[in-house]
Amino acid sequence: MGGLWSYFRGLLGAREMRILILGLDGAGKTTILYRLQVGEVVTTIPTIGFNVEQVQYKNLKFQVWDLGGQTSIRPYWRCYYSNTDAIIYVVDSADKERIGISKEELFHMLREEELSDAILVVLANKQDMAGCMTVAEVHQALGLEALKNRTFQIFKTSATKGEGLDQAMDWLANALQNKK
Amino acid sequence: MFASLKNKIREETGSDISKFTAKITSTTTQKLESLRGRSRQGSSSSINSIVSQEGFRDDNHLSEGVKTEEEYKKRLFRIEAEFVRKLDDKEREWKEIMSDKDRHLQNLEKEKDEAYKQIKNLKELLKNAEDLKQKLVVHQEDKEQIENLQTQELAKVKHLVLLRDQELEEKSILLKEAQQQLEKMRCEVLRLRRQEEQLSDVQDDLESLRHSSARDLAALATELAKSEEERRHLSDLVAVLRQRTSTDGNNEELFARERKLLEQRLEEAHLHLADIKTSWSDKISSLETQVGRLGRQAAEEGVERRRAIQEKEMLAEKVKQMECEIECYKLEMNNKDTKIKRLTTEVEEMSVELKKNKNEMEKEIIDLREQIHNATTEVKAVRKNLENSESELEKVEEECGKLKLSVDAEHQANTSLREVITKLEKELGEEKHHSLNVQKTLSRVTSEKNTALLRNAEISQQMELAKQESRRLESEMTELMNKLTSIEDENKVYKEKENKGIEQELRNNLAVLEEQISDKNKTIKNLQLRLADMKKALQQELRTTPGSLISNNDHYELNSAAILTPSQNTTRNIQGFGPRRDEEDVNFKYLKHVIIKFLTSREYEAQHLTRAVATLLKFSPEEEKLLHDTIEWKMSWFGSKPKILNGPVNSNTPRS
Repeated sequence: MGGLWSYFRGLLGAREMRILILGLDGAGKTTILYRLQVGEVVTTIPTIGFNVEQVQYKNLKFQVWDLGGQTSIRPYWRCYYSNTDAIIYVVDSADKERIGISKEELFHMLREEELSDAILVVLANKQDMAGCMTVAEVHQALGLEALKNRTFQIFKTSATKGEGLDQAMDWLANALQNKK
Repeated sequence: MFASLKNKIREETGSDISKFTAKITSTTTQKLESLRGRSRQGSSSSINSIVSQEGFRDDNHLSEGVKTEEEYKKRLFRIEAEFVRKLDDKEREWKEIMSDKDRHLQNLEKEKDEAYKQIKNLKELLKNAEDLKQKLVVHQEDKEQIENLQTQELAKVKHLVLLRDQELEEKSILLKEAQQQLEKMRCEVLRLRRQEEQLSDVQDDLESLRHSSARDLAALATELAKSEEERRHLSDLVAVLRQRTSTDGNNEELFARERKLLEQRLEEAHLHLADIKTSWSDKISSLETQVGRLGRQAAEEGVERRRAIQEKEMLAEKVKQMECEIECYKLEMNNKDTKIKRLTTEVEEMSVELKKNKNEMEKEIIDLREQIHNATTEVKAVRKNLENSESELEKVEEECGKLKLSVDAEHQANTSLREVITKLEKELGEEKHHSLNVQKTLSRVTSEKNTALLRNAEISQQMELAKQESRRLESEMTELMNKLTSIEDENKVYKEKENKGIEQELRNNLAVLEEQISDKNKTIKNLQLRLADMKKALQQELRTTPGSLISNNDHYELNSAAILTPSQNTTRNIQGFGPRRDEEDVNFKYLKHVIIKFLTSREYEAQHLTRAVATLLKFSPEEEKLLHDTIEWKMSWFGSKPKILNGPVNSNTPRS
């Protein structure tokens, strides 16, 4: 049945966009995923494994994969890279200590051949926290100015308050449509 | 003044004064004139003039000799005494004048005091006047209240009188009504009397009718008696005739005929009689009915009469009641009249009292007005004082305004200081926030430090191991180097002999040796990993037997923690190998989760998960391909299943 459904969908050409949500543990990936899907803040536990959800946004269907970001399971990210249209890389703006590790992981990921065409959206999350880094600071700390030949954009967000996610998704939807 | 002086001198010095005077007049006039303008104090001027006189005299008489010196001295003494006395006099005069002045001053002060006292008195008077004013106001209010009360009472009395009048009118109306009723009753009584007369007439008629009927009855009875007598007579006649017949046989038939006729007549007479009887009986019955009717009428009339009599009695009672009521009303009227009179007298008394009060009040008012007038004059005086004080007050107010300005300035300064304080507080808050952040970072740093210390310990152990290895390697290296040097020496020797052929051989040897080194490195790594595994196993064994080595437990735990991180590092660094074992909790959980997802997800998702599953379960590329193709076949709807499925399965199953 599923084969039939996917076959018809394939015939119609309405392929689901495959999006990965990546980032260090505790950056708010799962919260963002469920905020996008149901529009509510859910209580989450650290993801050991992954969550995958269908998200409809303005006539576009996304298959969003939220992969666990703990140190021991970060190596498995590369298992999911194939056929990825976009990457949402979530950064905890309040975690100044681990921004360096975050940067390393980001660039390690971007070096992969399979992700050479993927669009990158960086979300400077947890902007509601006191004493967090600004978007410019996150941009600089991640060394995003060094990125070339990559469609990317950085947004400031607060997943718990639902701020900034709409702009990010608008931009992403436009970028994906343009890419087609 | 000089004249009196001359006189005095003359009295005390005798005849010599004439000389003096002449001299004085001749010599001192100029000086005196000059002195006159200088001062009025005669005493000093006179002294001066006299001194100059003496000087002049001395100048004149020095030539006469020393004889007269004594006299001069005596004179001088006298004159001095005189002057002293005069001075005393003058002093006394001046003192007197001074005392007078003092007295005058004292008097002035007294006057001043008196004036103050007067002011005080005036103030008191003012107060009294104000009090009187207030009293006047109070009196006026009282008066107004009294007048109001009086008018109210008058109104009440008038109201009462009006009420009484109304009651009186009502009573009189009632009386009139009662009288009208009485007249009506009387009319009815008259009517009833007429009816009584009618009744008596009817009764008379009835009696006359009875009499006439009785007479008729008597007449009829007599007629009946007559007819019966006639019948008897006829029967006698019949008897006579029968006797005749019996006697006269021929005539018997005639007699029979006669007899028959007579009998017929008799019967007719009988019939006639019967008719008469019936007619009489009818008449009697009619008369009886008439009598009965009349009797009934009489009874009805009697009842009516009785009723009328009763009504009459009732009316008479009513009339009596009415009369009684009228009397009562009259009495009430009298009472009310008396009351009204009393009230009017009271009102008059009240008005008289009011007038008296008014007069008194007016008098009081006049007095008070006068007092007020006095008071106002005093008040004016006081007001002037007040104005003075007000001017002072204005001055004070100006000063006050200045002070206020200064106070405002101070306030402004205060507000600025407050702003500064708020700024400082804000800064303080920021500083606090900073300090909190710093504390947070401190805690994090300490935790990190702890972890770092742990890692450090691990690393140090690793280092030790590595050092040992490196020492071994170094020793090997040194050996190799020694060999190399020896070989180089040899090479040099050979170089001298054989240039290139041997060199190549040596290089080959070197490559072999390097390969050996790399192999050894690999074995070292393998040994390290095995060591870690061994330690893990040892730790698990220690956990299963916790009582045996508690003291070493912590140490081993540290070791185990120390081993975890390098293995992770290796997994990350050497991605090609994938995760080594699923003994790690997280990796096991991850595997479990991925497998569950893989089994429960749609094919489309499962397709993407094949890679992860293959990585986690360490599939060979063929196995991974098989899995991938199988899922694609499931998805692809058109079966090409056996081709892919059979070939790799057979070849791969033994390997796995």
